[in-house]
Amino acid sequence: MPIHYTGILDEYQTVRQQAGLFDVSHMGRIMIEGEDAIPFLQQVSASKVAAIEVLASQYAMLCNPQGGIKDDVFIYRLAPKKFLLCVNASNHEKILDWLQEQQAQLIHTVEVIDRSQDIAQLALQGPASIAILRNTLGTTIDHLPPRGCLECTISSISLLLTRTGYTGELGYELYVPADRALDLWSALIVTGKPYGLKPAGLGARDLLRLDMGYLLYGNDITEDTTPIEAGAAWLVDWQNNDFIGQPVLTKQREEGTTRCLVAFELLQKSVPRHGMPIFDEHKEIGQVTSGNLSPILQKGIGLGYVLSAHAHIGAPLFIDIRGRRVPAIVVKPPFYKRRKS
Amino acid sequence: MIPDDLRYHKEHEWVRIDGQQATVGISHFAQEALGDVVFVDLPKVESQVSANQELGEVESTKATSSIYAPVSGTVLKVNADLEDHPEHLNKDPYGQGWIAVIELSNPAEVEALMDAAQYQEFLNAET
Repeated sequence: MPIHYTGILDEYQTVRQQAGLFDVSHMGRIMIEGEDAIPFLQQVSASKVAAIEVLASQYAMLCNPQGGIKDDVFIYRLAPKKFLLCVNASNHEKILDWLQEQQAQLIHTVEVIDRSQDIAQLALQGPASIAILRNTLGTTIDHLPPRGCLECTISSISLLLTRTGYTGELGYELYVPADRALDLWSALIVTGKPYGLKPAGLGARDLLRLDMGYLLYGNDITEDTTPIEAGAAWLVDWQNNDFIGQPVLTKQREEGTTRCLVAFELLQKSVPRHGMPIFDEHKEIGQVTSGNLSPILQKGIGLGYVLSAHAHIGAPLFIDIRGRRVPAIVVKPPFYKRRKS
Repeated sequence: MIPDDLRYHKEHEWVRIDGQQATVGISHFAQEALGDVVFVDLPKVESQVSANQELGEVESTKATSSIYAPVSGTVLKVNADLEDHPEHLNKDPYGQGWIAVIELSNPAEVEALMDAAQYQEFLNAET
């Protein structure tokens, strides 16, 4: 995926107002299938996988034994014992190797199959996405709930359509045989043109996700941060005592953590960036992990880890922007609230 | 996209000389490399700047970049319109996108800057 096609801001606005088409095939797609698919997934992820309905999906955390995040993934349940994991591109090899290791160690009757090369992935995101799909499918998809999946056909191409995305807008992802991906891309671009659809790249994608406070692996979460520290405790199934990292997470849940991820807005116009120190009135208390100027809010926004005493809504912070302490305040994400359609 | 009447600095700033005053901006090449500009951190009026030192900062959707002072002197004026219209830097880098006016303290520095033909050669060599 390129950084941009027509320009980052133009693509960003297009997704917020009409629709953008992203080629996210760089992400990893791993199929987990077999008799023990659920117990296997409940061991490698902190999620209650059994609770995902067939043709639904869930955002989930995979942890190491220290509770650190190995990856944040989407788990799609395609059939009672068949799951598709969408993993971050940067973690693809690592997660594939790790899942195969776990599969061998745990002696589960389950297959771990990398499908990243033969399945491509497009993301159609923006308020116009539903109209574009209605038009290409010739049928209504209004009933497809958030995170729902649908096997369907567009321009005689069979694909898996899911109501998921990374932009905060109404949007869909399309999992398609790699040899038909280009045809699908072209068909969507042609049908979408009257609706204002444009190709969109990585730059717009990063701005869009930050508006929502969505986490970026490698920046906001790593093997050294836990779901509790990252504010993702809601993803952890506390009834499950078996998943990797569970003892550490349970302890952190009970005792708290020294640092927490917060969302903040600058009170003066400036731009926070990854790596900038965060201060209170006196001392350094943390570091920015993601930051930018939100084009729609016209405010500097960011995510960062701070000492837990400062991790409450309304807490005053100062971001050290090249030696200048710019005042900021802790807010509740998302930064951008989408108007309900 | 390299006007003949300007002088250029190796960090891709331009100056327009008018008597003892130099208007400063960034070149078309620079704005293209930066991508969409979303914020400009302007120098303070009356501040002293030295050639080749930081004059201000430009934030684009991609990254933060320094703007360097091509000449030394005192900042007489800054383009406050850029606070609300940072896109002028992209759309009109040699006009509405001007950044500051500097009163020259050492006019001889201008001679050390590139003219349009030299800057074009410099770009050809760099890219």
